[in-house]
Amino acid sequence: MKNDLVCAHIDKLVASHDSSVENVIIYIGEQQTTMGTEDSGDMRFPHRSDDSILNCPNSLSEKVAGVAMSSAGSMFKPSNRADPFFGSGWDPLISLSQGENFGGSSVVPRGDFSNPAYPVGLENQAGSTTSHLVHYGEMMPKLPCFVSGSFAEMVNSFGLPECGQVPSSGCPPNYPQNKEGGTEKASTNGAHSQEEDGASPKWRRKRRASESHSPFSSNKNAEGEHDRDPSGDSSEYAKEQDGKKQKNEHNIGLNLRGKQSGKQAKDSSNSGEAPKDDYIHVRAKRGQATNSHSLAERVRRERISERMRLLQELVPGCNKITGKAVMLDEIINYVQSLQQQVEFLSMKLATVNPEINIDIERILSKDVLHSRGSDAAILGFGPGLSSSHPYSQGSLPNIASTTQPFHPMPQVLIPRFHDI
Amino acid sequence: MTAQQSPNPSSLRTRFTYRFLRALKELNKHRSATSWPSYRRVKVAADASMAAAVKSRRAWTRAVLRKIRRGHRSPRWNRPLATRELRRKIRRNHGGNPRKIRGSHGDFGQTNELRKLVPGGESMEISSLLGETAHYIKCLSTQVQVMRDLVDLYSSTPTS
Repeated sequence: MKNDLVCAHIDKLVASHDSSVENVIIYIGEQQTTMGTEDSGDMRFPHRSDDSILNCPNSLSEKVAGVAMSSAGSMFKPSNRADPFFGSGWDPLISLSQGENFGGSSVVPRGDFSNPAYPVGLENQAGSTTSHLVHYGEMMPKLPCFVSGSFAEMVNSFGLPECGQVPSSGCPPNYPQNKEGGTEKASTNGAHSQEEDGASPKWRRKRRASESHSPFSSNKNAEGEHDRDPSGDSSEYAKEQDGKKQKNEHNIGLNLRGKQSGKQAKDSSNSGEAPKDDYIHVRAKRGQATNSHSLAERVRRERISERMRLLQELVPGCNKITGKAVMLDEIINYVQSLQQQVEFLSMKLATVNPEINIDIERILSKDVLHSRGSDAAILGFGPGLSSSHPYSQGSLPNIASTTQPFHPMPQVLIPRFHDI
Repeated sequence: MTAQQSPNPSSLRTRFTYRFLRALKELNKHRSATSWPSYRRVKVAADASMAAAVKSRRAWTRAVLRKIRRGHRSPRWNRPLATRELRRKIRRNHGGNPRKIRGSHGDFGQTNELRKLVPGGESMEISSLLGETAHYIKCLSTQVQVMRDLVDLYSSTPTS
């Protein structure tokens, strides 16, 4: 197998130090280009590298994968920049053996594509490395196009700005500015923020590109929409957590290279899905209709159900209710009761209002701003002010219960507030 | 002590309270000795203060402000709706997306009900209607809280 050859070669090359990486990269790069000329070469290479990686010793596997990552860019020119790889800017690298470190650190973006064995490779390294890499590792399955971004960050620490620019040139233009923000977050937050940052460039990217789209049916069509589809595919893979990693790699390769071919048709037919062309990009999941109308319907329904969930939290006592009709009834009842309460309270205020000295209003405004919860206890309010008061028409008894003589005059109230 | 001791100067609640108190003061000032401010005016003041506190960021506040301004321009103290206004109302109801009213599978009647309740909800899509409802509920509950506190304070403070 070719990869066994690669492994063997890398084995020899790893023995030497500084220049070895350079040779390795160039070698693998050559390998990659030859394989890339085949139609399914890109698809198959990572796959094979998975197997071979498992077979090869750990360091070798890391090397192969790391190089695979670089070769996926295929514009990677490490010629005289391999030296920075050896930890000029990255302390953990220096601490560990260089060859393994490089492979180990760079394997992460690609590692998660293949199988979960890669986290094992992660743990081999120093803790400080792991903290970086874990984030990258978490990030990887989510947004393949973002891999290039994270890779760019790592590479930048190595002093390889070119790699960072490679994906940006491949990806649509506004991706780089999102990438920086995202990569910063990668080192601080977890995968969650990565997802969001990954998501936001997707949306923005798609909004600008949306006009050129047309529904991409699952039947292969080699028509002119391909130029946007790989970015669409790769962006929407962020939503998918299934094992279509090969297509991820494939699409990234396409993204980075910007080549269009019938591979897309194959990809989409393989996945049986079609990207939806709209301002909000949704990918049809497996087994779901891929008609653009039904997708739009599904988006709408999801939005509506999301809002219903929000409302469910707002309306008290609706946690157990499932079903739009009952929920809507509850919401309507709640709104009606709130409006009735406002009316009732305004009536009360209208009767009570004239009795109040205008000066007091100023002072009392602070009371009103403060009075909630525990303040009610301090000020001697009754239970009527508890915010957990059920909305059922209970305002009358509550107000009646708070008419206890409330001796603190406004002047007395002020010191109390200062205590708080 | 709970966390809600110092008023957030820019929270919805503070903004509404200030506006409402000022409106109440206005009402108190302008009322003649004999005529008490009708509760309707207080209610309108409350709604107006709430809508003004939210500004025009929401569709329902815009609708409320529109309604109030129209009410101010032609003040109608309990006069029945003129036929022209009635016709306009009916026409607006029909023109306001009847298709959408029907098109929501499975919540027909309730949707219409909700539209009637939420100001400005006549001509809105279901999704935006739900969003507006959520914000409206939040503001309504704030309003109720503040007004209840005011009533309690007013009623329990002994007047000299």
